[in-house]
Amino acid sequence: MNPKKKKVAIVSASGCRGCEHAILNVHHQVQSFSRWIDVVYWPYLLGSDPDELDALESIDVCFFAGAVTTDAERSMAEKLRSKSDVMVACGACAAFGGMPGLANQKKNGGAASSEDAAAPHENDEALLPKREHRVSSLDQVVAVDYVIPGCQPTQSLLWAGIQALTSGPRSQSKLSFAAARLPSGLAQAVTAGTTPPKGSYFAGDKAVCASCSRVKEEKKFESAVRPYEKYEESGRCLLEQGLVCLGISTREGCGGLCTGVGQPCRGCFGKPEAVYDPGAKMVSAISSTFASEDKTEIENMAAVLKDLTGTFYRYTLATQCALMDKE
Amino acid sequence: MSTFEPKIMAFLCNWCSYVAADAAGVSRFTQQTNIRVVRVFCSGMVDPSYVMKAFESGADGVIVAGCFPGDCHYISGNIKAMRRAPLLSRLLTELGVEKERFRLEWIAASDSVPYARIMNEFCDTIRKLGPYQPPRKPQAILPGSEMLAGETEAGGLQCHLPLRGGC
Amino acid sequence: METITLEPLRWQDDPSRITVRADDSNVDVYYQVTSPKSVEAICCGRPVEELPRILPILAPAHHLTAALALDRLFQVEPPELAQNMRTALLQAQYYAAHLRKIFFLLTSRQDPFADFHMARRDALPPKVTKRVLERIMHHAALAQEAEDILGGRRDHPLSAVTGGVSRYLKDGHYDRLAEIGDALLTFAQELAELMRTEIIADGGMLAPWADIEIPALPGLYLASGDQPTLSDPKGGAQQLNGEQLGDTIALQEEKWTYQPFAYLQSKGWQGFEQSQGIFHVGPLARFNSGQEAATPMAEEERQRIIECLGAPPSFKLSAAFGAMVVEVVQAAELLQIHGSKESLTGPVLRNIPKSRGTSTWAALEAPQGLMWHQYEVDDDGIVQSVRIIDAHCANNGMKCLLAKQLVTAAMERKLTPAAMKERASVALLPF
Repeated sequence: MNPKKKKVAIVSASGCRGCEHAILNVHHQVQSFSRWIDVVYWPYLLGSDPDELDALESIDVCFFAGAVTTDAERSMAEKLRSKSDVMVACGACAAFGGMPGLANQKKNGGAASSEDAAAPHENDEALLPKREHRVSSLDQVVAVDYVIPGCQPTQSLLWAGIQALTSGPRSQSKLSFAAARLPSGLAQAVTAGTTPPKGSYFAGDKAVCASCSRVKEEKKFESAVRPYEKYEESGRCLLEQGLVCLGISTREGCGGLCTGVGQPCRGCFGKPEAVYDPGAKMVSAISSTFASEDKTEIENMAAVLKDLTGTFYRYTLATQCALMDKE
Repeated sequence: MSTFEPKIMAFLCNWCSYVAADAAGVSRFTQQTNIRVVRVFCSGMVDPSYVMKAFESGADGVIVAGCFPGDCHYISGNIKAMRRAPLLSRLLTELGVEKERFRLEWIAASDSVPYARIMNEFCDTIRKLGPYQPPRKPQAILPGSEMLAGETEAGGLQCHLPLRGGC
Repeated sequence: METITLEPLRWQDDPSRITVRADDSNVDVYYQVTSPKSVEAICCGRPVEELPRILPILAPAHHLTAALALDRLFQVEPPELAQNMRTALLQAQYYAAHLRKIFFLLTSRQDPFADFHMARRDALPPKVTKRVLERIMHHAALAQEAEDILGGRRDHPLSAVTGGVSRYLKDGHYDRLAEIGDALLTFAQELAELMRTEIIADGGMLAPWADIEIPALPGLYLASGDQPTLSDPKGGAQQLNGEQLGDTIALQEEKWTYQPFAYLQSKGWQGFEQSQGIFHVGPLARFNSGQEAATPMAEEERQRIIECLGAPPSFKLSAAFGAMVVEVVQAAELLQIHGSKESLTGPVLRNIPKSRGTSTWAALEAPQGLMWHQYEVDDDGIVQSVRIIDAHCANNGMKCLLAKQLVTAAMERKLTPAAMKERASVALLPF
């Protein structure tokens, strides 16, 4: 093992492997990892088993994807935290609970009953990891140093994050590559060769609207629509077209990926710092576009919108909804 | 035996409802003491996040009182409040805050008697509802809300497959 | 009682392990999925038009299946341009998914990130150099770029919507797709040659695993004509009703795994070892159906593979990977056809529905195997129930049986747990 190489662990809890695939395919260059990274623990790709983790003395950077839903995943997160200098929540599930977090709307986080998950069978069949009463993000279980949000994280931010956290201060080309893709605060830290401030998000500070390429005119519409009811190819802001787009309550960084493809934002980068609760923000944003002064008309417009919780908190119900349990 | 005394936030607009509240106080109308008043300059200033924050911080009820439509000191501030009310109310119900806990009222500056009556009624309503506790899952389905019928006793929806496990 | 845990199983989408309980008389082997997925909790209560953006958490192709279900629910037919875009996206997904599995196979004896010069020379098969591995990853990445262009985003695509797709491609996209299409087809043929001669052939890389017998279960696939068909390894095929597939196939939960088992309801469930109703899906099932490839070069490749392995059905690992090779070539050809500028140009992107039903279904042959969706919605279009059959549950029984056979044989040969884990991981890789 080359002591100059950073020791990296890449791990998934409950999720879809999308984040690990994103790392695997990062800029066609995953194989060049070996020049400056020692991947010491990657169960998905290397089959690294739990004993290997126990045997590791330390890890420099751990990229943790997936939400924590079982006690085994919690222990794994705690063990990784105790061995890692830097813990990175990679992807919306680790960062905010992600879509699995929607199960928190149901009693016991979606488990049929809390005792059901791993009841020892009469024949003492192999016990499953026990399901917790709720789905948790990584930072609800251990302290997290950095977050690379997104479902999945975009290639450029992911690569910037990997470079920034695993390159030594002398790797100028890598650091400037990373800095070019990060917002100014992070970029400055990275080019100076220092680690970015703990708790930083590898994403922007404003809302998605700031980087969305659509044209914003006046936000007034007579009726809200559901996405299949109409579309305009006008390149105009989707909220102005009557669609529910969460860009206003979502952190930027993706460059307006979904809106660029004609799909409203669904908030996979979580809320920006300045927003207290994404649902409240969206209520305010959408309500302000209703072009009516009549109570009944307003109520009819509001009635078109369905499933406010599942839409406004699609990726963040486990962590960023002010009125949901956080533990 | 201690009875539950609700904590209620009232956002009162400077030009109408606050004046009414002031007058009600000066006139010594009997009022329950559960109301905590925040004076804002217009009911349109009350962002939905203030209402949510009030509940998150332990309020059992929140009432926003503004001028009657047409009387707003800032012309249409109260219309903005009116626009927010349906969606905010619905979001709150979906998250387990009973519909009765949040109210938007119009109270004119001279309406000191109605002010006292409305506030007392609100206190009674909330007292009957009981304390607000952030739930783990949304409460029972209320008619008119957008939740699904068919939540079973165990808290699961009537889906074909048992809730545990996926496909 | 001895307990051995083979954990984790490398390359499996679901976090999983094999737990072995052995005593003098009996060996119990459990292939366990150790993380739950609350699909119903996530989907029920959502507006139905959101499902194509939610279900890709199971696999990217669910996006397309959900879109098909929505088309049916809203009684709209997507315009040709949209159908082509969706088909092209599916092909790009096939290419990327299969290449990833092939990369995993080729690097199975080593750490793919290890300094190549220090790596064991015998870990890679002859002719599979680091350059070859790089080219595989490069072309997998090109396929993913095609997924980005066609679907808006890889792994969690966006573009398929009710009645069509969400936007036209830009001019530059058409040229790039054409470039990618050419590169993918050329490489597919190169890779096929390599796989056939070095990997699948007798004495090739798969030789040490040639003794692994994949359970000879019926295969479920979509025959041309879009009807789910169940092929019997002993011969014959039975067409099933797509709309009622949810009645023909049931799901069984067991307390020792978070993944339910799909099985034929008519046969009942007596545990995975005794059940007659278990089947499997995926490339091997499609290959064993004996149907011709959809495109000429792929059909030629299929014939070459048959020459190499013998006529289907075959239940060896070499056949499972041979099937993938054929599908890689086919995907590249289909991508050129459906991803061409002419195919992706048209006056209308999507058709706006005028009505909405209350229940719908759809079936799609995805890279990992047949997937089937059924939804019920209320009068507001909110999802009331979701039933999904895909490779995760459909191959669960097969994987349990395979694990059991493999571990039992390995214990007789007195293999170490590490060696057992390696064999199990490779055997389960194609599924």
